[in-house]
Amino acid sequence: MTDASLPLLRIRGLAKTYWLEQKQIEVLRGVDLDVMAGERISIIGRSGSGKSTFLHVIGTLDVPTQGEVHYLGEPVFQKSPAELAAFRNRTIGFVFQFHHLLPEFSALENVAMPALIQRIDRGAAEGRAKEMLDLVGLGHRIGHRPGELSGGEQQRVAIARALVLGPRLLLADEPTGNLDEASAAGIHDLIDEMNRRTGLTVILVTHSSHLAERMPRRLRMDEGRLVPV
Amino acid sequence: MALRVLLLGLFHGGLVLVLELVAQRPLGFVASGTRAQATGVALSTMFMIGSGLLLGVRSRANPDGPTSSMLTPWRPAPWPAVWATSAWTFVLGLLGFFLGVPGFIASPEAAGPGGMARAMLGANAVLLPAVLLVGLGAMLGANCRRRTASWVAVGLLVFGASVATTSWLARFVSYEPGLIAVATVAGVGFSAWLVGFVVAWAAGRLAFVELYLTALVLGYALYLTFALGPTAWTAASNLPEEQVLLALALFPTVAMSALMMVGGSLGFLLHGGGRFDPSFAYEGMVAQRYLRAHRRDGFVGTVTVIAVVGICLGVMALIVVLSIMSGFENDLKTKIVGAHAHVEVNKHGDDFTEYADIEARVGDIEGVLSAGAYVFGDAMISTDAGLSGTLIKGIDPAASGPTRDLRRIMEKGELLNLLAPEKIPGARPAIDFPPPPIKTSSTGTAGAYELAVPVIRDAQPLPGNRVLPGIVIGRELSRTLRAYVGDVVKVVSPASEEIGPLGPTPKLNRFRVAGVFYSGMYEYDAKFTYIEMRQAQRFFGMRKRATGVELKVADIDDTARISEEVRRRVGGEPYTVKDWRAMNKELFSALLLEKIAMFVALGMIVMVASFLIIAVLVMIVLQRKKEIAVIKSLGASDASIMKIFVVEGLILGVGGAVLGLLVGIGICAFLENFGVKLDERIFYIERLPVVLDWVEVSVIAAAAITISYLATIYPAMTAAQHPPVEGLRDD
Repeated sequence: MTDASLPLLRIRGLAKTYWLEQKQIEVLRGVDLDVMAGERISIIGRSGSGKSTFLHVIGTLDVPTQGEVHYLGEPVFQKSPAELAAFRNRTIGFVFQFHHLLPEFSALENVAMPALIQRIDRGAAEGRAKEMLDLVGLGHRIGHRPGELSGGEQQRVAIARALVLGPRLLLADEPTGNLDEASAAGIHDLIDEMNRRTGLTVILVTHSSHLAERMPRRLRMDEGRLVPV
Repeated sequence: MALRVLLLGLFHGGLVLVLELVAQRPLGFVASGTRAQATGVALSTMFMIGSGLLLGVRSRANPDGPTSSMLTPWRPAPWPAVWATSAWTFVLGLLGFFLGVPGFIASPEAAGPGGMARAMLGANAVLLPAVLLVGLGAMLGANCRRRTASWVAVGLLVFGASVATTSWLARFVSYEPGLIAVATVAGVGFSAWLVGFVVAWAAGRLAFVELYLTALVLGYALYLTFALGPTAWTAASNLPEEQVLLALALFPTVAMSALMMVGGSLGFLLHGGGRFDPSFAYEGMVAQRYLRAHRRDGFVGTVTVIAVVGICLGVMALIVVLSIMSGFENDLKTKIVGAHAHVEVNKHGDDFTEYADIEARVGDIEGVLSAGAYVFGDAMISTDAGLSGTLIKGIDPAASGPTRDLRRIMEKGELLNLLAPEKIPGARPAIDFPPPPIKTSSTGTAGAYELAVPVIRDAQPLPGNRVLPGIVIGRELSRTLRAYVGDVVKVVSPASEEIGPLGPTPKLNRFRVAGVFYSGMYEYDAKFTYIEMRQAQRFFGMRKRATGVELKVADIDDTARISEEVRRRVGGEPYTVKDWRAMNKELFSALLLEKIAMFVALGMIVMVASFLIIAVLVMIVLQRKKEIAVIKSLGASDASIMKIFVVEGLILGVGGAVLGLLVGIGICAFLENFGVKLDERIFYIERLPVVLDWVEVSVIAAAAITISYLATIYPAMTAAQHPPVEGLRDD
């Protein structure tokens, strides 16, 4: 069993530098953060302040130039590419601003996709996906393609997909940035509920301070560093 | 920074200069097209690639390159340094040429005609691709990793072990040199494939840099072994030495690296996700959905259709053309085995008198239908109308087995009349003589064939009205000589025992045409003639002797076994045993070569079509950047992404190949059943022959699918190595 005092994520000195036509752009300049299991954290900041890059790096979609991320004490970036893929599959759920559902697949297939990637057989994967869609209130629209769903519904499907394998960490990048206020509130209620039910750890990036305030722990990305609000 | 890179390039250029001078001085600047020059060229290219490699490895400290290590994008080569090195190499080439000039002046004959100009051209031919070679090395060097050298070593070890094992196994295949060569090449090919598979499997990534380096090392090792080894090795082939060396310099490296890529990509697909994962379940589903979606997309859809149609056309053309070639080959084979012996026993020297014994010894081998002795010789045959060379075969017309095929192809006249020449129409004068007392005699070997007893009526013909012996000639010869059944022909044998005042005199005999045969093969119908065995023995002065014993067998594809058994029974030397394949070796190997050339030429269609598959896949990959990133964020491994696009490409390739197979087999079936009439006077065959060989069909299908698979590797690899953040950032 894991040590209760051990943070789920321990981030130390995380830096990310891009080279753009011989010009160095420092996006992250040494981020330190401990995330305890079950925490709900919001990160706000101006566009281009590095919020998304930070999420991508801790979600192992990108590698840091410097620094390390420890997941339950284990250094993440020492894993091989294949191990990182398996880590993303089992441990992390992503929700993006533009839902990023696969347009050729039905809601059910989209939600089942992470399970299929894990080689769970199709029947079992779709069973889980169906349960998950019921949970987000879309049990009646499983056969619809993303194009046939409203913005709020699409984002619900995306959340169902992120959570279908029961990950410990949800990384949400402006999940309600494109939604009207009512739908946005619905999405946040859903995330809160999931957190209550399963102890899911949530890191949510948003530029709306109104929504950020719903989170117990609030941080701001400023000049490539995280500061408490 | 740029200055440092440039200095690095100058340093390596200098290194190339020194190495080349060291390598080429002892070899001497001699005339082009020689072993020394070929080796010099090889060493120069090796140094250029090598210096590029060093350049690339050292440039990795250059922070201008991307730094990501997880996503394995290709790092660019340090091009300024590459150019600097190449410039140096060019200067060196000129310098080398001028250093060689005194040598040319001192001994112009060593350089040969135009030697100097050729040396100059040769030097430039090496120097111009310097940028490419150094660039190749630098590209590989820049993408080396910490453990690259270890993986190359692993690759070399696996290769060595595998080649040793396969060549040990090859010894059990056969002792025939040709088969051993084929088995060896197959073993080397398999070993290259295995190296790719093992390295990619163990490293958990595509490891193309390592594989390519391994192929380069092996290719150069092979080349230098032959170039510096004994001359006999290259002389074993019939080609000029420098052509052999050139082929050795290029072909093995290219072929081995291609096979390693295939093996490597398979190893990665199966084990790249960190565990053995042969499943293509969701990847296949995604691939199908993408293809279906892109069918409606105008441009990609159109190119997709063209790619499939291209593969289909290539496969179809291959099947139809090769089947027609097989048809002609088969026709030839039938005619050859129809008119001739299937297996022949000959004896060294000209004292083959014990032929009856040999006939008896081999006659009862399983699968042998008949064994009969024959006499064979060259002669001139003439009438007033014409003259021709002929190959006369003396046979026993009464032996049913050996003459079975000849009797079948008799067009006019009667073969058995060779035994009873007086029965040939025209043999008897128009004035009827009173019938002599009837006397019966049973000529020919008894037992095997119940002969319709020939009755020799004019046993004592009047002088001047002697009954001429009979001869059977082919239809073409009959036309040339205007000699038909009953006509008299003159046959002159140069070999004769009769000594005249001026030495041996040619022997002249007159024969009456007893029959005309038509084998359908021009050469036979124009050249071969048959006479009765004893007549032939007398005519060629071979009393009681035979040229050989010919065997007819039930299954002509079983002659290898039968020859072996015959060899065992007759006891080897001085007897030689040959089957119809060995007797017509040149003809059949020419046909095979023609077929291979045709296969390669038509295979180009499939190759071109496979480039369209590459184009389609690259377009799909570019359009699907975002989806690829999303699937990766859901936890798909690089190998899994690669599988998606390999499946997409294979659906197109296999689809095209299957369509091509169906259409090709359909066309062949049509030709076989309805046929295309040919002008028999020109083609000597009445209609287009078609033989569908299922081995060939399988080879064609396998080749088409392999080429399609190769086409998928590059786009699929690009998709797999695409950094997911880029796809997600594009919004």
